[in-house]
Amino acid sequence: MKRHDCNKWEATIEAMMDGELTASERVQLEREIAQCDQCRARVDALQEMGALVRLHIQTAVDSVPFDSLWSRIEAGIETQAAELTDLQLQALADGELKGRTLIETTERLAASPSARRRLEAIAEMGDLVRSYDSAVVDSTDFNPLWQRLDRAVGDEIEARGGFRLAPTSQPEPRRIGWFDRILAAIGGYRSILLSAATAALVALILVPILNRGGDSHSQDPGSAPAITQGDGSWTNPQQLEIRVVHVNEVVSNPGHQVTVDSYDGYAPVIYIRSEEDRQEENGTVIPTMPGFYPDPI
Amino acid sequence: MEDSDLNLVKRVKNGDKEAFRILVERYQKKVFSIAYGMVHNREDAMDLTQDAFLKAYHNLEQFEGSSSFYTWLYRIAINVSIDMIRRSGKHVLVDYDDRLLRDTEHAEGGLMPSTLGVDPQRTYGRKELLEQIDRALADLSPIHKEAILLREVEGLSYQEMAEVMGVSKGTVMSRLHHARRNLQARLLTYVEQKDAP
Repeated sequence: MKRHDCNKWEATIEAMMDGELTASERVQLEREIAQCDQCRARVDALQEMGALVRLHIQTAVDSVPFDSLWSRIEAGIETQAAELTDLQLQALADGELKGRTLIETTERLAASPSARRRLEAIAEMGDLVRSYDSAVVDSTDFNPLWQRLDRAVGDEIEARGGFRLAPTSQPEPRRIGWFDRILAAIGGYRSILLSAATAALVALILVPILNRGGDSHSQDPGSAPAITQGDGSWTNPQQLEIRVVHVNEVVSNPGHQVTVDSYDGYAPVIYIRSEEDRQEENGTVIPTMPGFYPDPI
Repeated sequence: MEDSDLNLVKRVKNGDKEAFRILVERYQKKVFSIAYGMVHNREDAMDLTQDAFLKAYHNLEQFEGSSSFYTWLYRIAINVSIDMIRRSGKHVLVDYDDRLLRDTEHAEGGLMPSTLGVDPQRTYGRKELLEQIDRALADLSPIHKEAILLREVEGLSYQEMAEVMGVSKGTVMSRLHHARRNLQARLLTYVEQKDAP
């Protein structure tokens, strides 16, 4: 015969006393504890304690008059109605009040100069915060963000068989088309998601550049290239292999160096490297070239 | 036919203060019971009852009817009570970790078989009993008081308690169990002290 374990039934006994068991569960429990004096004593203890608590609270309830409670609450409603709280004013300023509350609050506001002053203070504080936030955003240099994104894309391209431009003494990079490039990239990836994200980033960078095709300057791969800028030209002192370079704008950017990479022989990617990254790069670093910033993403 | 809570709430939202009076009269004793069980003083409990209804009135727009009006009201009553306890500094509002308590309590055995069972022959007067239960309740942490009151006094189901307390049903069961054990242990302590020569 299976031994009865009182502790095992403890939680079930409480659930039964609390009316949380189904009829069949209750029958099963009653059958189980019928033969156990300790379990039955626990049921009695729970009943007894619950009854004591209820008696204690009921005694207090019976000893106080509730006749005046409503009049106290009503007076409280009227007193509080006379003065809008800061929370109500805040909700009004934030456009969170609706219906009856909005109408009542507006009426009370009209009758309360002090509430109007407090509302003005709340609104003024909001304006100050917004203007400060706006000033911070306006004064923030987002170039480092762009550099990080650009570098990440370049690393991905290299990792998937792309190349950065090298001096002409290095082997000619394999020329394959865009479609082949994309197929190869997708086929070789462990993560389709990463592929999609990379492709999207590359597209974001390249499409605006390619769209400015009318302004492009093409050169033969083997010639000494020059990058023509809107305000002059710069001749590549290291005889880099540059096929197509589109320059949107020239930004003076002391402290940074620029690496020009060609992707696939057709679509150039312009990298902007910080000075501290220079030693880590395998790509060619052009020491005197001002920064070339592709269109922001 | 008696108006439902939700219908009365709707009327109050449309500016019918009389509907709020009906809600007050319907729940004033329930709210007072919670407040008294939390703070153990009639005057304070009555003030808290008034505060709870005033807060309910001014925040009624936030009550969307997804839960029962009374579970929403009980939550307000408990919050104002806990605020008063906090201000008075009489209790440290420690959120007991029931998982930690469980180990020690199992080591001591299960729920004790009888609340006042140390001496079955001992008889207690009504006043004495009420004093003991008052002291025992007062010693409980606020979250254990809350569990005992919502179940034993208000008769809420575990699901309703979970809504009021903002926890899962499993946590309700755990808190209730430990609240009962703590309450019983305190009652026994007082009985033993009383019976000591």
